[in-house]
Amino acid sequence: MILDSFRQDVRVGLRVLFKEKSFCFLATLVLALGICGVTTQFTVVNAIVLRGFSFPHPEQLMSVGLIDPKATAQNNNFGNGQIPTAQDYEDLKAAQKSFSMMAGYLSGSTINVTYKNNPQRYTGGYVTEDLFRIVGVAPVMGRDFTAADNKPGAEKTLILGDEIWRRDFAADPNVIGQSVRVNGKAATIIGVMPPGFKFPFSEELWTPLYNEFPPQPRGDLRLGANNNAPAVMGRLKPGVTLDQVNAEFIALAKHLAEDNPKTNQNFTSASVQPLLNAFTFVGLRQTVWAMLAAVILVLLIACVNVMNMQFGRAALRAKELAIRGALGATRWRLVRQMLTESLLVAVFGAAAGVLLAYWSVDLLLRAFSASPFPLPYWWHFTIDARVLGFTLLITLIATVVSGLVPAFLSARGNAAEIMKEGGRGNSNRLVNGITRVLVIGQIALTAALLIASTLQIKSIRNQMTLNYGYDESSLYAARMALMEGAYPTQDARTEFFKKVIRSLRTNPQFDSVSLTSRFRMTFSASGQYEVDGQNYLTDRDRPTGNFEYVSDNYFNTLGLKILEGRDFTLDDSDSKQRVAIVNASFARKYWGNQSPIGHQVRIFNPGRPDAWRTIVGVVPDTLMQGPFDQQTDNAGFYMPLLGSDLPNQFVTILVRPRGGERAETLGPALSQAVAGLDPDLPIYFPGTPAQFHHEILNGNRIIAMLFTIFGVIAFILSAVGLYGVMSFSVNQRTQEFGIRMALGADAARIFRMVMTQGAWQLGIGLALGAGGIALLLGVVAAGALKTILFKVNALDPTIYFAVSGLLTLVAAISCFVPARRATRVDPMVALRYE
Amino acid sequence: MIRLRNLERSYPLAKGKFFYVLRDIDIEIAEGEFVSVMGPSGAGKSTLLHILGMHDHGWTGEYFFNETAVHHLKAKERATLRNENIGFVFQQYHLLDDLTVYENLEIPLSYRKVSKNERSAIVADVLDRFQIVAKKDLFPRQLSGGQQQLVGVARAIIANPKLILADEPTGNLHSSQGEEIMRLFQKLNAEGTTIIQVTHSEKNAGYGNRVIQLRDGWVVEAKSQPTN
Repeated sequence: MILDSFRQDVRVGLRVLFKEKSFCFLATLVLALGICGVTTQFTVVNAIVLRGFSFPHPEQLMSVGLIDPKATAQNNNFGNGQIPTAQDYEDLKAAQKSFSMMAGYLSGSTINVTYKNNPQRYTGGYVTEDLFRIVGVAPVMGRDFTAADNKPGAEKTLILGDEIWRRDFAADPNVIGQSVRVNGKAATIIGVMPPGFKFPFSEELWTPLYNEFPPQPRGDLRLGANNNAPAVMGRLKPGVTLDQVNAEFIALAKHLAEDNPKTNQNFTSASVQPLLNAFTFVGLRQTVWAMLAAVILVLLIACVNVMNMQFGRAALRAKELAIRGALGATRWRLVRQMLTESLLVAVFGAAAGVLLAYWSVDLLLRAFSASPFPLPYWWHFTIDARVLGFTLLITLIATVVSGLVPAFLSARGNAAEIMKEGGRGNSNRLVNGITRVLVIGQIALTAALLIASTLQIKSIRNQMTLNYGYDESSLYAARMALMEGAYPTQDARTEFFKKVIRSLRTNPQFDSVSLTSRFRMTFSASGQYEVDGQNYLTDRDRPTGNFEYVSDNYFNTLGLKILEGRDFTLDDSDSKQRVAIVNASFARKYWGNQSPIGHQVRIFNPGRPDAWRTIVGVVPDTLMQGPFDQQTDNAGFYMPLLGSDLPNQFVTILVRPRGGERAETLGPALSQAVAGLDPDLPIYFPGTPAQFHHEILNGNRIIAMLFTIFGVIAFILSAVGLYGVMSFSVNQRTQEFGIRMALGADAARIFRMVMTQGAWQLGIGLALGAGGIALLLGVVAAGALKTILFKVNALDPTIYFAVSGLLTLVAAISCFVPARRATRVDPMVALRYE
Repeated sequence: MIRLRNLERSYPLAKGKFFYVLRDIDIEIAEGEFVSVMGPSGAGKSTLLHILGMHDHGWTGEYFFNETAVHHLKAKERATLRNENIGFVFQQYHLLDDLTVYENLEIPLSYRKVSKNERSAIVADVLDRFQIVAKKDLFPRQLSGGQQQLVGVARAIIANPKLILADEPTGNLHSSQGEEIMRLFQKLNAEGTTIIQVTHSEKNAGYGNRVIQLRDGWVVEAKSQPTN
């Protein structure tokens, strides 16, 4: 019975919509845009935050880190904590009872593999023997790592990922047992992982951690760079809760801090949290949720537009509904009929929206794949059952939001009065009121969205226009990794670095050559340091800054002049005299207008304090902290790479072309020159710094692009909505305008009336939208914004005024046409208009 | 007061033809008259009223209002002339739903740039004269049909017009309310206001002193009659 009646409603609804093609097309289009946005963004949320791993019981997988309760969130790895030393991992593993298994890993690391005399650099994982067992995935060929493989000094072993096995090992079924060289040492391939497995993020192969980086005794430990302390994860025993495991590890952290004050005194707490949370850092999670909120706002604006159209239709159909009522249809029956029509429109919109979403997800994927950093392998941007379920849900919500109020109001009319009034309906006042409120809401939502989008775009613009302090297009850089197998000591590495420099400097294609530790010419190392003459009461009093190991001639290669003192030389060596060069900000920060030459600086190392370094030079600022760090200031210092007693394995070669040559053409010459010195040493990450800086912001550019699209759609929908409502309102008020004109109102007065109505709606909408978003961004979410917005004041008045101005302009245009039409009302016609 | 010469109103039809609503109208109405325009539906009564009220500009011929040649005036000048001289009463009352009785009465004055103090005084006076002081804060929907039309008439005369044009003023009222309104017109007429009403009712026409009969756009009869 109910089904029959629903079927009838659908049939009638389809007929009505077929008759009202323009409404049907417009409403479908508007909803499709909104639903496409929400479906696309929910696909992203699903991939990054919700779907997670496909391992058995992924909810049991936890990340473990130690926390310094007094440090900032950023220094605590955004709440995930860190494992200061490999020994901490071993101590925690031995003492804990909550996990059935624990494992440590270094991900995204360089592993140089030479197979059939072809050296290649891979992104791989250095892992303890239990990493694959803990996630419950075994090699499809060969065997897993054992504790014996992980021991320092054991024969090197290697497990390949499916992708490189197929690509670089020709899917050789006899690959197991074959010999390769890993980081310069002989190694045996012992396994191949299943297709698609790249745990933890986008690893191409794996080799045992301690075999490559033997854990050092605590007394020799260095915090910070080159410590090789692993990230740690564990699998919870059944029945152990998150609170229980956190309580246990906090207690263990306290013990470690008490027992090892030199290395652990600040790490008095711990954080155990679901692995997925730890893998998707808080800024990313906030950004994807914020973007989902933004597209839901767009959908809401779309729904409001459709609701306005529905009001327009309802007014036109009031007489028809009244007749139906007079013929015996109950109010619920009429509501149902109208709602069925809304549902049909929403379903059309959803179908078109999902189709559009397939296309936009594909676009998004292509944009992401341009990133220099591969995405975590467990992110699958696919429209799956969960996404479709969500789309269904929002379609139903869109139906109710856009259709219920118009349906209810149309159905509540008094049939006799409506027919007597000649079809104007007696709900006009209420409908007018509601449509005005809707426009206010629409303007408020659009203002909020545009302000949020503009802030985001400005933030990304700030990142894209950062001044790195030198001409980024005039240089060419590539990375090389000297692993322990081929270069077992720092002396051996230093010798090779010197050889590289000497050799490249004789190459006629290079005008200037130098080396630096800076990663992709973007990120320097950062950490706490000490300056002579400063009084530090506790560890935390030491400032945090950036430092970089560079060879001689580095500043010259960058095109910078030494401001004071001297450059490093090939002979600068920590064993003779420990020296440093500071940048202008550093000099100004600590010595004002005085010369810093002769003063001393050192990296803070609580476990084993370094000797002081004497400042021998001052150079201009370069952007050492990269395009994301807002907390560290520009003050930074440099240390001699070639004379350092610290093990520098990963180094960027920087070359400047001879006059007239373009930097980006130097790749082959550089590869050839390095291969001539060590044929087993691949260079990687080649390009100009300008390319690196561009690529590194790829993700942010996508976010900016999406926010721009959301903003533009919202803006268009609002303009259309405002125009629609003002038009509807003018139509509804035709008779009123006629009366007013008959009573003496002139055209200017009528025009002013309509414009004033629009201005009120605009004013209230702007106040609510701008005020609301200011409250949200400035107060409620101020903390979160520090990680999302880069050097942007969330309450930047310029943006608020610009958005208000833009909306005022579009509102004025949207009101102008209906207002002009209102002035052309013919009182004679209007007074007959019933 | 009003002199129409050869006035015609037509609407274009297909193939260059025209449909005439009013044809060759010659009418004179003196100041102080109470004229009823009668005729069957479609005779052109309301069109004539809107032309007299200077809402309709698509006519040809001559229209003199107090010796002012309306046919030579621009739309803006006609509006000024209308605002200074004419008040309207409608069959549907046409009160503005969202305004109170007081505000409805105030509207024509505000359109004539009467100062706020003066407006208050005039509205208070009219409310008193029409004995609707108690209703001043009510909205039209809170009034009966008769009361609404009473406010409609009050609104029509508030700017002190020389001429009231009334289109079926009692069409939506029951007989006693209709009589009340007609007596009010009679009183206003007696006080010097010229009134032209469109009506179907012989009885209502009887309140005036002249009837103009229209048929298919032509004046077929214009006769004076004794007042009731």
